[in-house]
Amino acid sequence: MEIGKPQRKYTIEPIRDPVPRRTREEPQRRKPPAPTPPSEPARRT
Amino acid sequence: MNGAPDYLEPVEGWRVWRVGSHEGQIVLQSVFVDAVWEPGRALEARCEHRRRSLWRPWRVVTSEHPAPDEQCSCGIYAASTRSAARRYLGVPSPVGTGMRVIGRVMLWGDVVESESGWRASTAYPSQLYLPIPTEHARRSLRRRAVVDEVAVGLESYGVPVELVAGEPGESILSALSW
Repeated sequence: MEIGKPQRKYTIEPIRDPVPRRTREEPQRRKPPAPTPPSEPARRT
Repeated sequence: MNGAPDYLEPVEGWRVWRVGSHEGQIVLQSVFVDAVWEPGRALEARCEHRRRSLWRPWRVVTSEHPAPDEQCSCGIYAASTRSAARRYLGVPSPVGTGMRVIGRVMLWGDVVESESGWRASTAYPSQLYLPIPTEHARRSLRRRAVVDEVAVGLESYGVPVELVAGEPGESILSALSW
């Protein structure tokens, strides 16, 4: 990637962690579709 | 890092990634080097440059300086503007093929500021824009299914993932004209 000549160098120490925390605990997953209720057996009349 | 930092907030730039697969998971990868951006983990730069030893020219030695170094070209790159980054949506990659993603990236640690961007020691994406097929390509349900799968896979980064109309390359530029 072309970004030109270096101008200056510095250090950044973020107060808050820039990495979203929830990805560390558990990757976000799509909620599985709700199971369809079993069809009611036909009643004998 | 030694001593007090100069700043307390990451800088935010623009860059382009390849979409690839790593250990069965959809991941972002760098376009020009074989680096995997793992979800939930900041990418740490290291200098990959090699040179021949002055005293034993048959030996190839790796760089030993921390990345980025002002005298080297190492580090994690980002452009300061969207327009500077988006041209890399269509640039061939020397390390692999795959769908391209453009987005914002946060940079921190040691940072070399340049004329139109930065090189940093540490980075993590903060927003991703995934091109979705044009009307022509949309006819291919398989292609659209791949885009949907990639979009879901990229959610593991915990940052906003937005679909934008257009193909990687010039036609996506108008879609990114917000």
